Amino acid sequence: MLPDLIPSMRSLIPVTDFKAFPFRFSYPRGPSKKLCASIGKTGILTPLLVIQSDTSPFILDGHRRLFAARVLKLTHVPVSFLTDTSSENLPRIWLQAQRVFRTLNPFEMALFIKKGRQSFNQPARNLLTLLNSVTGIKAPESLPEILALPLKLRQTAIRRAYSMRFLLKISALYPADLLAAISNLLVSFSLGENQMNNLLGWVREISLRDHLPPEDILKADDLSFILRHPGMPSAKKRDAFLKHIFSMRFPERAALEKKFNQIARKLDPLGIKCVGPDLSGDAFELRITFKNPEEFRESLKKAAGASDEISRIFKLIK
Amino acid sequence: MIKTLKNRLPVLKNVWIDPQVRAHPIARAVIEKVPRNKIIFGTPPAGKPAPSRPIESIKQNLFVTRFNGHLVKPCPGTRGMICCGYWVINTMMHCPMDCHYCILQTYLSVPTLTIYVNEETVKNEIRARLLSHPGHICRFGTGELGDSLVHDAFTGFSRRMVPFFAATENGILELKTKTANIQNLIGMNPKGHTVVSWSLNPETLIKELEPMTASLSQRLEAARQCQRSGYWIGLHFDPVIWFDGWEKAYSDLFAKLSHTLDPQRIIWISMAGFRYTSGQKDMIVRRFPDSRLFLGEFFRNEDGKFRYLQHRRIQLYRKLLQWIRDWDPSLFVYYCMENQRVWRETFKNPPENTGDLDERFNRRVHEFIQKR
Repeated sequence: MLPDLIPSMRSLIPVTDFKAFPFRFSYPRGPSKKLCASIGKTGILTPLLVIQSDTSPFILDGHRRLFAARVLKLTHVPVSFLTDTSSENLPRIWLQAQRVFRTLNPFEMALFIKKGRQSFNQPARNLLTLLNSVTGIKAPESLPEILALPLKLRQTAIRRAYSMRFLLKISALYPADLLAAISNLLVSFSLGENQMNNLLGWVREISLRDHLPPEDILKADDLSFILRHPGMPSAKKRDAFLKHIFSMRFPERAALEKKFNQIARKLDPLGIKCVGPDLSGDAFELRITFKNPEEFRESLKKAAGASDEISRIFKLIK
Repeated sequence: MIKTLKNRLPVLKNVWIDPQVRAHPIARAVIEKVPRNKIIFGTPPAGKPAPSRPIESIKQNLFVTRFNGHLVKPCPGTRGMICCGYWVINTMMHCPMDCHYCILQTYLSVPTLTIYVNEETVKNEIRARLLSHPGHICRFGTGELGDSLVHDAFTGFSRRMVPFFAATENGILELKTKTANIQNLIGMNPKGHTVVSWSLNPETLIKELEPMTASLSQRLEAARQCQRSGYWIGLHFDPVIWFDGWEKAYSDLFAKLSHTLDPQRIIWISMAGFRYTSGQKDMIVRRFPDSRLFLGEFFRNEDGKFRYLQHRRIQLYRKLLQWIRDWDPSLFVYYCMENQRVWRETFKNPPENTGDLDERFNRRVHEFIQKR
């Protein structure tokens, strides 16, 4: 429902009468099937927010609903004519209307600052203050910089709900060629914020260490093989890819982890779980805990028939 | 004559003088030395907290004020590591020099370079500490939250503190610096109670990572002059940085050291590998995108700091220790913030804990005071 905070007068007007207000986010060409189905069933429940003008009225909010109405061949749509359309108030009303059903994502906020300057005829600083007061989020002045991130990365960021802070950090820290190279990977798999953070950092450091452009690092044969693998699900591709980059960046740690995992895998069929070791050195302590002496004796029996390596470990314990 | 750093430091945009201390001799000295149009009587606006404030702006603003809490505190050390039982005197915050790896970039929340003028508080707190620990050597230093000598031309801190410590039974003052600002020190008699210490790294690292600091030869020349003037010298290889060619670079450094300084007047040498917090890394990468500081392999330790892998640190320390022992086997060496395993792997007789290390310092200082 329209928040009470927005003063308006409601009425029903013909679909053909509208002009689009210059400020809107880019959105898909047509309304979603879901929206059409919903409007087809129940009609438009939330009136479009409209500014009255001498010619046709402008829509401030409700472009998709209008689009759906046209698709459904509705003749009239419910609108709320805004009574206070001063340039100070319009951006506030727009923000409040957006926030009725959802939270704005960081890119929408950035667009609000960047595009809103012209559309609302307000300085960016005012819009920022307004954004921060309405959303309760402390967006910095540099927020529009995140709009320069590559498209695929932006789409992933929205889908995986990357935080504004993280987006600001990567747009400030990493060079465009690295961001573009990583963005290209997102066709093959998706990355959560932490995974993206690690991947960017590791590739950047390999690039500095080995004096290679990021693109060349990501074109390594092993990595291409993972990306092109036809039968591998994307989550597995992602894990294998990250693991491989990790071992390129941290060869010593990766070797140690591999050794530990080999031993842990051999112990697993014996029902013995190892505690994740401290991998800060060139060797690690293998910590195995037994609940009671019986469990220990049982494990010894099982270990007698296990591989040489495991038998050796248990001889040491004995 | 050693050049001072005066002309190489970032230009101060504003100097804020707390109106309550405007008559204090330190504030007056600052007012005399700074152009009138840069002085503002008042408190700098709080604004953004320091980690999100551009570090350049912090370094361009100086605030002279007083601090109403304790100025002398035990060194915070770090969890799970053996520490040395040091006490820190926090009469200044932040540093105008710009070492890439500096923890202060993210550690402090004050918005400006800050000098606290209430030296009487410092002296009282030191007196109280010394009186409560008779017979035990208490080591104090001003180099924790800033460089001990970088503001010394302004503040004249050393001119008052060296005689103060000289008059104590069991107090040692350590002035840690990367400058060559020793003018105030020459001509005083520390009576064995002041150590002037230099943080050292190979010349190539100084050029790349420590802008605005004195060069290696300037530091060594300053150290030589201090030795001649009766000061004990401390050397801090902190942070030790691993890079391609580190062995040659550090060996050259030791060659220079052995030609310049008398090891018999070096009271202690510390070593610590480069370590960082994740916030610090973000800050460093943002400020110095091509920094090669993070290209080694690091591991997050239990205190939350990332350090080189243990065997890499052991390898670095063993080599450094070998050069130190080759120079003079009697030199007293300790680690700052290292774990027991590293101590065990590199020392024949490592300290068992912080108390044990503190006791060893006690004996070392007594030994030095006796031979004075």
